[in-house]
Amino acid sequence: MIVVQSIDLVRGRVEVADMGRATPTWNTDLLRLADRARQVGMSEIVVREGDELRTHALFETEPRAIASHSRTIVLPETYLAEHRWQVQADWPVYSARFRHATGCLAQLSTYCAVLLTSYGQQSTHLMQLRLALYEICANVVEHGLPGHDTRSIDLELQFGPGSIAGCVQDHCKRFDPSRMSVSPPPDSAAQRHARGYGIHMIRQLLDDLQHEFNETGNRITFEKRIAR
Amino acid sequence: MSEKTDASKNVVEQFEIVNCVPVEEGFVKLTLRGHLDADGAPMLCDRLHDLRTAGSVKVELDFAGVQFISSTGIGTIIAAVGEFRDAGGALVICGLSDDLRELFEMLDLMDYVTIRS
Repeated sequence: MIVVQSIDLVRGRVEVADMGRATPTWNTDLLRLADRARQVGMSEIVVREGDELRTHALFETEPRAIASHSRTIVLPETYLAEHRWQVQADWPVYSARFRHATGCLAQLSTYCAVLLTSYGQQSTHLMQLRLALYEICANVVEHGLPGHDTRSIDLELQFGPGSIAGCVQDHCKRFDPSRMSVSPPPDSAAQRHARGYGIHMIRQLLDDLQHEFNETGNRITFEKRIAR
Repeated sequence: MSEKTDASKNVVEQFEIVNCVPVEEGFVKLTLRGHLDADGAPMLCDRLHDLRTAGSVKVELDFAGVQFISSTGIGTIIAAVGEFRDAGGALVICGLSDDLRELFEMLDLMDYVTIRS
């Protein structure tokens, strides 16, 4: 049983409650609703589950893709403000908005791990990508606008046949990790420092790293090649 | 329509020091668990500082229960290694997973930090 809570004709959005999710016909019913909604010009369907999450399933594509790529991620709404996805060239692109709050890094890390795991990433790739994204966002938190907890961090992950690409967009002052001068870790114990490994790790873990400062803030795009 | 992914399997495990056992005079073994990240690293830093202050010169950190180390965690280890050496002792790591060992190798830390299998 699908319970439609609201229909927003301006935004083309249908919002449904998660009541009945456990019933055997849930997926069929939701696909049927999505199909009908698309026929009348709606562009997305939103499933709310209590106060904890929002799942936005865009159905610009075929229903089978919805079935293949939709991922419902349960994270506290305190951190995860939005989770949506779409399909480009048969591969999914997931995007999420995290509130710039204490603890958001751990939640962001969980979000990445859930998606990467669901696509069967090997543990090494999983850990490396998760770590790289953690470090990028840690720099946003540390260097961007410390104390501005109302800002958000936008994350996009695009899965492909041989790589995972994506971007992190912040709303902070300029910070370019790809241009920071970072020396390799020194050999001498006396020269070792406790800080400064984040940038080095980001560069080592990712195959491509680009920075753009736009009207919103910093946009860091990245790519990690994956051997399958 | 929606594959409900169980986030609990991937949820960040809060860092904790589950055990602190004196092995011999001045030698303590700590068993760690969870994610050694920006939230967890200060706890380890404080505990190591307390141990040094209390006279421990040798510490072994068991990482078998640690799945994730951020740059802050790495920095904490590097700083602690230096401080224990300065005090005439040593900090040793054991139980690293293959993924974390690869991270230490990537950062050229294998020669700097004493790592036991």
